[in-house]
Amino acid sequence: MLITPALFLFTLLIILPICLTVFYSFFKISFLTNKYDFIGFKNFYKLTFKKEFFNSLQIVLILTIIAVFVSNFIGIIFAKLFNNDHKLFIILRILIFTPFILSPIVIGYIFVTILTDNGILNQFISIFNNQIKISWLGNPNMALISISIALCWQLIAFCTVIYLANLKNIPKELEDAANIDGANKIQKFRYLDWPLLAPALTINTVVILISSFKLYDRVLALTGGGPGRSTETIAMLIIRTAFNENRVGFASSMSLLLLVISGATTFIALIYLGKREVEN
Amino acid sequence: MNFFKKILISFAIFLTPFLANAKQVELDFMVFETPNLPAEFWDDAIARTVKDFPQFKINKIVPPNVGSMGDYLKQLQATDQFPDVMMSNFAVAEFIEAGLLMPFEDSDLERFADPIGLGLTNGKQYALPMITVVESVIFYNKKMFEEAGITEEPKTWSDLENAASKLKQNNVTPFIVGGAAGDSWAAAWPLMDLVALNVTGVDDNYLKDLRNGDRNFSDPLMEDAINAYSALVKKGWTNDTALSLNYSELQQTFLNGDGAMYPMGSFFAGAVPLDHPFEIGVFPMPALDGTPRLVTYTSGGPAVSALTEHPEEAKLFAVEFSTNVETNADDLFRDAHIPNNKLFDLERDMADYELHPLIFEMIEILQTPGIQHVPFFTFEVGDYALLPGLQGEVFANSQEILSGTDTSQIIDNLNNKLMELQ
Repeated sequence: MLITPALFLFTLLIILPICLTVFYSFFKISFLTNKYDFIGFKNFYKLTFKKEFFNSLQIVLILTIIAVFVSNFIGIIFAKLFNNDHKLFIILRILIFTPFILSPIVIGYIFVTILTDNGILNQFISIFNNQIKISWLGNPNMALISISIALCWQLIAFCTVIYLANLKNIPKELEDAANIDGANKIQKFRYLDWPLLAPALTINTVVILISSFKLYDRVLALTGGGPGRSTETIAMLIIRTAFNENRVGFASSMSLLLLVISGATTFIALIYLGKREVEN
Repeated sequence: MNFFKKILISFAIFLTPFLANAKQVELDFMVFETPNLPAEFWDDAIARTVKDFPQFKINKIVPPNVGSMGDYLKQLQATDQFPDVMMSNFAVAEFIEAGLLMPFEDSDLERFADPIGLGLTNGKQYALPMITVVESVIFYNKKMFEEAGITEEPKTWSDLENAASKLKQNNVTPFIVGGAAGDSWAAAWPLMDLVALNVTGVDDNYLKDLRNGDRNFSDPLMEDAINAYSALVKKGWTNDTALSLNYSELQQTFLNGDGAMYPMGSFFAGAVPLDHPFEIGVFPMPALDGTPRLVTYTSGGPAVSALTEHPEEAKLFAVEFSTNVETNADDLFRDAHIPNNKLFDLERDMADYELHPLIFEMIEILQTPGIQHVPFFTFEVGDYALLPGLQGEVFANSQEILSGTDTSQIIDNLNNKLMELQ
């Protein structure tokens, strides 16, 4: 009985939209005309030939891989650095978490001011060498790197906080024992911290996977999916297909496939990392 | 005054605003903001119409950027928030086809010098032909031309290429082009002009055939038009910052003197300050075959939603807004939009404004005798309109051209999208 309100909200906000997406994906629909033509599995069949979808999937996978490794790696380094109870480190911890509370679209626009041709970054580089002018957003390859920088900047903040919380939970006695055994810093990290940070790694990886697969706002602000379609993520492709090309049904089939891919990837990551937690 | 009277008067005063509001008609009006037409322009223009017609209460809606106006309208339509009136600065054809726009009557069009403008759909006008924009013009830096030994404005495409070559030899970037992120439309500007001048303006049936699936983008005329743009990039005649600049940065790049020529619509003339440090000239973009043609766009005024609860009032507001002489004058001053209003008199109504000479040159170009006016590619209406989604594909592929992608690949991309959308 007590869970009824929560169940109602969950059904309304999560289950219903998913069911509607499944329903839409079997139709040819335009939001302009509100016409629904049943076409069975045709949208899914067409999707298997859609180069743009696989191009966007590739872009998302590249960004996800970069985000998982970079954010976790730097997050651990920061967590170790800030794992200190001195007042200065408490302030630093607050500062490091600030990017995570900012809206992704705001982060996108902040990075636009940094990364445009006459932006802060190029002006900084020109202090050392004014011959170098990198087109961070105009060159397709650099644009992808720029997006991953903006993505990681926010995710590092999240990872750091989770790792810090986990580090705080490691019993002091274990570190004392390691000290008595004469372990150096690297050995302490390798044999003590790293295995015990497994739950934090699981949380961080899953959150990063989910955030990266549905990446939209930062890319919209930074490159709009361009130049051309070189940084168009799946979420952007879905919006374009639904609202620019008026193919809501087809966009729904892409959304479903994205849900399956991200769900499967997250599930595999959970199983693999969960096993590691148990082993440790 | 006795107590009862006091109560009555107080009650009447209290009710007055409610009674006044009861007569008011509330309309959602979508406009667009650009560097030349900021919020202030729209607020003033709306206030002028409301001053004459106080029954209107206008709620201004602004899309995230001018290039995404059509997409934004679709999102509003999907969430039952389609505005009552909207500036038609987007590809209106698909909205007309979907029955979302209301046709204007002949009586609504009486004040417009050219009531047909961009064209009619089933004999009806759906977007008021408020302004005329000359789309295919090239602005140039007169000093740079002089220093490179170019004595005459290019009249043919080979003249243009010769001028570009001379400028390059003089260590000047011949063309400033581009458009990043949400401003991919700006990157597509030269291509839309080239296609209008050399494909759709030459072959009347091309767009109809494209729509019916009888032809595609693998057409010699289309190939030449894309090649012409691509060649400018491949010869190193365009700025290497093209894909990093948004529209206002692009405009500023030319105004800063970072390049000699800037292909853009006549509205750029409104952005040139009277005391600009160097002199700017303008000439029509030549067609590849040398025939004098000019890409023009007479439309851009308000369109009215077929779903509005106040159809007559919305139409009245649309007509009054677009034919307000003061608004027309401000629009001409700020964005070089040439009014298509019979009531507008250039000398009389612009007496208080100091217009940039470029605006007069633009009017002269528009009135050049014997020049064929052709519609702007991707903004066509009626049977000639492109399929929804193709405009976005043209924009994205223009960025691809600026990245150095081959014409054959561009044509493949466009053909694939065409097949997918048919």
